[in-house]
Amino acid sequence: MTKIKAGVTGWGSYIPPYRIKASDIASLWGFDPYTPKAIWIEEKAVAALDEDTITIGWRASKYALQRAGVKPEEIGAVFVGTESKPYSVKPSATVIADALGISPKKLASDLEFACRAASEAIRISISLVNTEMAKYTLVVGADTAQASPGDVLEFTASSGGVALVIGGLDNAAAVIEDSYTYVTDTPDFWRRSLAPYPEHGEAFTGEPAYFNHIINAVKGLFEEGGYKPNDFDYAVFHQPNGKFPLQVGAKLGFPKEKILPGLVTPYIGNTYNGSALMGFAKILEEAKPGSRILLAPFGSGAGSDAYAIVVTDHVLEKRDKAPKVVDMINRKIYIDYARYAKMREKILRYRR
Amino acid sequence: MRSFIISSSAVKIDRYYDKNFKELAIESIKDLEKKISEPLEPEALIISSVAVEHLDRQSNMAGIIADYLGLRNIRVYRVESGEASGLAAVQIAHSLVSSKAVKKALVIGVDKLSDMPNAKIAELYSYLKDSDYIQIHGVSPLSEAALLAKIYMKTYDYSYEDLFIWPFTMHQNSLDTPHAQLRFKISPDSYKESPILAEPLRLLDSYPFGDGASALYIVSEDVAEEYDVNVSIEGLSSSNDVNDIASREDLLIFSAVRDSFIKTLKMADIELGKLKYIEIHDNYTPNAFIVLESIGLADRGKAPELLQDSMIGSAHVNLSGGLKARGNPWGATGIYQVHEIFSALLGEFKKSVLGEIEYAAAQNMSGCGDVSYSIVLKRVR
Amino acid sequence: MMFERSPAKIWRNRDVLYRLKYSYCRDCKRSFYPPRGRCIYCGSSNIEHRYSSGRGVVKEFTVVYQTPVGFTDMSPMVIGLIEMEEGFRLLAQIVDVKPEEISNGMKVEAVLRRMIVDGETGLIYYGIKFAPLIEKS
Repeated sequence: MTKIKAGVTGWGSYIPPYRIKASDIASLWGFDPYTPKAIWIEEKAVAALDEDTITIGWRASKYALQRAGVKPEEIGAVFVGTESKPYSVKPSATVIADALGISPKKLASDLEFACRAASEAIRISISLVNTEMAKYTLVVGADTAQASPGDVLEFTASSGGVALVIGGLDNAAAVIEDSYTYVTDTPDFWRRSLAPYPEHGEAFTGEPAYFNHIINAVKGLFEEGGYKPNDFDYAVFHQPNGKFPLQVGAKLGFPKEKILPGLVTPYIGNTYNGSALMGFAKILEEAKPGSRILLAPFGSGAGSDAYAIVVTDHVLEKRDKAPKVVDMINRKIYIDYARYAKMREKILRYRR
Repeated sequence: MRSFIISSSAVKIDRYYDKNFKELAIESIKDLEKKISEPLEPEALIISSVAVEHLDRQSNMAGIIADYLGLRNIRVYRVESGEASGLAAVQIAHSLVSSKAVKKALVIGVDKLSDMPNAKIAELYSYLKDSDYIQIHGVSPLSEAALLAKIYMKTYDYSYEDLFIWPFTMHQNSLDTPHAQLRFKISPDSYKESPILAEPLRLLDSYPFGDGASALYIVSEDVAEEYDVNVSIEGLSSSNDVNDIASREDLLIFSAVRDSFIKTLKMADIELGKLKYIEIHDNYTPNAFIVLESIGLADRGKAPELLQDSMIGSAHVNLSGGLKARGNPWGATGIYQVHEIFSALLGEFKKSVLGEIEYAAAQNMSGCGDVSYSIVLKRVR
Repeated sequence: MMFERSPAKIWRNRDVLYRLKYSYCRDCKRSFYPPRGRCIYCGSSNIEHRYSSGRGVVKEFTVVYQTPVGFTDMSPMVIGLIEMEEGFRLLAQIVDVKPEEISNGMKVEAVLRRMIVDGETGLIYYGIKFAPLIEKS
C-alpha cells in the first residue's frame, strides 16, 4: 500500500445549460431510433459559441476554490487535462490561473492523454503535495469534445468540466487512500494533429481498450491495497456512454446501485476529461462522511487509474458553497440540431 | 474675438459609390466657392472625418485633399472627436482665425458610410467607445441608447409610441431639405414594420448610413466686412463626460451637452430664449429628448409632451430633419448643422417657417453625450 | 493572414478583463469601472484598485440585433446594465438565458467567456460576461 497523504480539498464542476436530444441526432443522420437507447444516452450538453475548455475550466475552478476555502495564491500548480485545447500551442492553464488570480509562482501546463489527462494530473498532484513542492494544486478536467457529424461518437461527445483542489489531509473533503495506474500503447481512438475530428476503432475501443485497462487498474488497486468490491460504497468509472460503466462494474463485482449515483453521461453526454470526475463530484455532493469511493478514469491510447477515496466530515460544510452537479444537470435550455451545429461551429461560413 | 462664416455648402447625403473621399470633399465646396466674391485661398484647411483611416485606409487626409484642391503652403489639419468631429473642426478654425493665426480657414467634413457593409459600419461606430474596456463587451452607442430609451420610458412613464413622435416629425421636416438623405413621410405607426436594432429601438429610431460632405468658409472680421451679410460665431464651446454611461450618476441628463451649451450661451452673452432655431444631435430617438432636456428647452421628462410641430417653446428644432432624416455622415454632421443654421440666418433655409432670425444654434455630440460641442451664430447685418 | 489584434493589448488588460479590476476612491468612498488613476466623481487621485466578487444584479438590459463585426455570432446579443455588489456599474453581455426570462433585479454572476476571436489565426480575447446564478434544483 502506497503512503498517500493527500486529499481533495475542494471540487467544482460546470455543465453548459444547452442540451440536444440524442433522438434528434439519430433522426438527422438516419440511425435506427433505438441506437441512443442501446448505448444509453438521452441528451448531451453543448457549449455556447463563446465557451471553450478555458472558460469551462475556469468556471469549474472558481467553484472548486470556493469549496476549498483556499486563497488563489496558495495554489502551487495548475494542470488542465483536455483533448480540446483552444490553442494548439499556448497553454490553457495559464489563462485559467491568471483569471483566478493564482500567483506566477506555480507550475502550469496542459496535459493530453485523451480522456485521462486530468487523472494523471491528480497523480502528479499527489506527488507534489506529498513532497511539499506545492501546498495545493488545481486539477482541471475539461473538454468541448469534437465528433465528426454523423459519427456514432456524436451522440455522446459533449462539453463540461470538473476541477479539484488537491491538498494535504487537513481540511480535505475526501482523502485519497490509494491509487494504481495501468497504461499501454493501444490505438483505440486518435486524432491527427490537423484533423478536426477524432477517429476510433469502434468495437476495438471496448474490450482491448476500455475494459482491459480499467479492469487491470482496479484489480491492481485491489491487490496492492487489499480491497474488495464490498469495501466500496460507490464506484465511478470513465463513462463514454451509459452502458460501459455498468458492464465494467458488473465484471468487477459492483452492483448497479453503487454505480448509478455517479453515472451522469446519459443526461449530459461524455465530457471526456470531465467524465468520471463529474460522477465523482456528484457523489461528493451526496455521500455520507466515511463512504469509500472507487474512482477509475480511463483515456484512449490507452490507460486507466484507480483510486480509493474516503469521504470525510469536511465534505458537509463545503457542499453548499457552489452549484452542484445535479443542479447543472437539471438546468437545461434545449436546442435543435441546427443551433447545435452553429454552436459547435459545424457550419461552413466566413467568420464575422 | 469673433470669427465669421461667409459661405457654406453641402452635398445631398446619399450613396456615392462612384466617388472617393477626396472627390466628395471637393464636390462639397463647389457651391461654397460660387458664393464668395474672391478666389478660394484659405490659409488653413481643416478636415473633419471620423472613419477615413478605416474606410479608406488613409491618413493625412487634409494634406491629400489640399493637394487635390491645388492648395499649397497652407496649414492642414485632420480633426477627429467622434461624432462631434464636425463642430470640433469648426472650433479649430474659429481658434485659428480669432487668434489671428490665419485670416481664412476652409472646413470640410466628410465620411462615406456606404463604402462598407452595415456590420462593419456598426463595428466602426462602436469605436466611439473605449476599446480596452467597453467596446470589448460588444457595447456601442446603439446599445447604450436602447438602455437609455428603456430607462427614459420607465422613469417618465412613456410608451414607445409616445417617443415615436420624434422620427415622425423629423421625416416631415426633411421633405424640403435639399441635402437630406431621406425625403419621405412616415406614418405614426410605421415603426410596426421597422426592424428592431436593439429593443426597443428600431431602424426608424436611428440614422441612415450614408455618404456626405459639407463645407464652411470661416474668416476674420476684416475679410467678412467685404460681404453684404455677416454671420458671426458668437459662442462655441465643448464639454465631456465619462465614456461609460454605466458610471454616470444621472443617466437621463447628458452633462456634457448641458455644460457645453451653458458655456456657449454665456460666451455669446444671450439667454436660451433668444434662440429661434436649434439643430441638435439626434442619433437615436431617446437621445433627442435627453438633449432637449439637457439644453434646458424642456424640463426633465417633458420633451416628448412639449414637442409640437417641431417646436419646443419658442425654438424650432431640427428643421433639417436631423440626423434621423437629413442623415449622419459622422465627421460631416456638425458641418451640415452649421451649414443649415448659417443658411437659415441668411434667409436661404426654411425661411417660410423661420422668417428672419438673429440667432441660431447647433449641438453636435459623440455617442450618448460622451463629448458635446455647441455653437451659436448671429446675423450681424 | 496576419493577426489583427494586438497581443500586447490583451496582455496588459488581462486583470481588468479577466477579474473585473475596478477603482475605489478612498476620499469619496465610491467605486467605478473601468479603473482609472483619478476618481471620476470627485477627481481625487487617492485611488486603490480592487477586484470584484463578480456578483451583481441586472438594472436594465437590451437585446441587440444590429451587432458589430466580431459580435455577430452572439446575435441577438443581450447587453445589460449591471450593478455590482461593490457599488459600481458596467455594461456587459448577459449569456445563458433567454431574453424573455431576464428581468430587472435578476442576480447574475461574472463568468469568463470568449469576448472576441481574432480571425482564424489570431488570439482569443477572454473576458467577463454575466450569467444567471445556477439555482438549486
